[in-house]
Amino acid sequence: MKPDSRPSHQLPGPDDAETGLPGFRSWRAVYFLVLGSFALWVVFLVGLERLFA
Amino acid sequence: MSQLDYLVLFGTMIGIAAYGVWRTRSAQSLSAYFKGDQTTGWAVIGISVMATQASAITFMSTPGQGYESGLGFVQNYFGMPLALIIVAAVFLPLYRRLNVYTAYEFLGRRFDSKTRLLGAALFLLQRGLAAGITIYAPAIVLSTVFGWRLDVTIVLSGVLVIVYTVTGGSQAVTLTQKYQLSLIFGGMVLAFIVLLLRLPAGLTLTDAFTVAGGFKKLEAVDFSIDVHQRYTFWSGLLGGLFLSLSYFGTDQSQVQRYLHGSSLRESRLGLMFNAVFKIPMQVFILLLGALVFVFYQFEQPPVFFNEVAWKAQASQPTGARLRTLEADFAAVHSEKRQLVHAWLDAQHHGNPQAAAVARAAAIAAQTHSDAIRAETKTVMQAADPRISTNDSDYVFVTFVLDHLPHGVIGLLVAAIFAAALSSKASELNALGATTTIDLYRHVIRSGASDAHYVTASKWFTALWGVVAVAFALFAHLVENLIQAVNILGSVFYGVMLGLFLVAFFLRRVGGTAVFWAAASGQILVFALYFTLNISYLWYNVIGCAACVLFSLILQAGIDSRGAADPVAASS
Repeated sequence: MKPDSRPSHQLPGPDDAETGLPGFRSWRAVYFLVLGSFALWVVFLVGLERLFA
Repeated sequence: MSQLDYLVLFGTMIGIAAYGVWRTRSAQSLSAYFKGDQTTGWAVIGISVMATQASAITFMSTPGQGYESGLGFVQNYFGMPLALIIVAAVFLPLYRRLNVYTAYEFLGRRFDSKTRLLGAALFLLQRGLAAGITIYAPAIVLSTVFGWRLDVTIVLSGVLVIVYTVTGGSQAVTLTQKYQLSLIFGGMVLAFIVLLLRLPAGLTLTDAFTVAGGFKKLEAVDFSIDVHQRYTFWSGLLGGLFLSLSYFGTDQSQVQRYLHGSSLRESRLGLMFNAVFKIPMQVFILLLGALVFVFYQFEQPPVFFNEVAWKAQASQPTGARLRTLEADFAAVHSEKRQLVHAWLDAQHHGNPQAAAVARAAAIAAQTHSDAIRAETKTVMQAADPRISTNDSDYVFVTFVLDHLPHGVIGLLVAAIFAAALSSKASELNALGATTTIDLYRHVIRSGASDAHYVTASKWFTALWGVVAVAFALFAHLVENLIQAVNILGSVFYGVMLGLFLVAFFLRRVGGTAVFWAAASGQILVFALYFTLNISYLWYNVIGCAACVLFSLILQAGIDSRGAADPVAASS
């Protein structure tokens, strides 16, 4: 695979490693946040179903 | 629809489209036409990705699913957060590093030309057909609202989206999606609020949820491992993972959206925005459908929600039978309404025994009511076998037209139409890009100027628009619209994902092995689809696994032949 010569704005910027999100400095932390929110939704839906069953 | 509704509908639709054309009217380079100006931030990317996936089908079929079957359909999206993480961490950095226009260009760089063409062909076939269904959905709304012929409505709505997509390219698509999604969310939230306000006086939100739960409309998560169940936690998690991975990682209509980002970070955050908010959005829309069901426990619903088809049949010789069924349905509904009131009254007065008795009677009345609806559909189909008896796509539209105030009706119809345009525009843009970059520039005419390719891509985009319109004219033969799109995706996406997973993770597999593996895998999926009765989500897993496994076997065979015949291997 031969990468094309890229315009400067497409070169990996120094900022790309930073998420820019307060409290979530690494991408791994952001991914855990996403999975955590999914787990919370599953718990919420199961709880809703049981509460009004 | 009043004049105010028409004003809101046409004002918003034409206004957004015209704004998109005007803002992107200047001459564009190929890069700008397909990737925009690449200064887009994460919020706009997130909105664009969401708007591309959330078609009009989402806002018509999904409430219908909530009305008929409750929240269970949300499980379809359970694999999506993990899939988006994988796309953000693995697929996206590579696409950006190689500076590709399409995902299939990557296959050409990694393998060879024939594999690139196979990937592009699978995408064009699958997305070209699905594009017809997404154009059909808003046409149902408009034909119901205006009483127009469905085929005329399909053609007119198709022409509007073709015009602004062809003119402005990817930039116009992204720009208009911002406003279209705002309109969609505004419309849905407004519908939800009005729905709550229209519930009977004294009925609390808890009561509404109690009724929905009592009729099993809040059953969202099924942990059973029955592969014949269409939606379970496991099929959603695993099948949905593969479906979402294929859709977001390999479908050009999505890849093109996030390649707009000004940096890897912005594109990643745009994907994570969807990973967090897609499930809540689907829950909200399904819940809207479930609450429409609750609303119709207190208001008389039509026995058949497709009013146009009903009226056509009612004037035929079967009309007398249908009117009898309608009267029976009304009688059962009246009885059921009293039972639901009795059930809630008993609950309010702390009498669980009486509540349980009334609830059981209400559920029995609902079963009777469902039976009358089923018989009505049988009578209608016997009188006219061409008629589609699946009316769940008409549930939300019927509610909007019959029970929302003027102005809000126009806004809701505009929201549904905006959703159709936003996803349709992405699809046409991606179909045009793939045809231009992976077929025309790669195979037919390489080395021409940017201006030539921009002109060619406009023609190809328009051509795909015409194909989509033509296919939409036959889409009424398909069962439930949103399921049809997902089934179509599942049949093709598994193999497509297999191609990309081999490309990313199996470095020793070459182009010839993966090409024949993908072709064999696709034939296998077709054969199983027509012989097995399993949830369609599993075809994503089967197609992907078959492609990966066959690639390894074929590559091993090629390697062993090469080892046995070093001259052939070196030639």
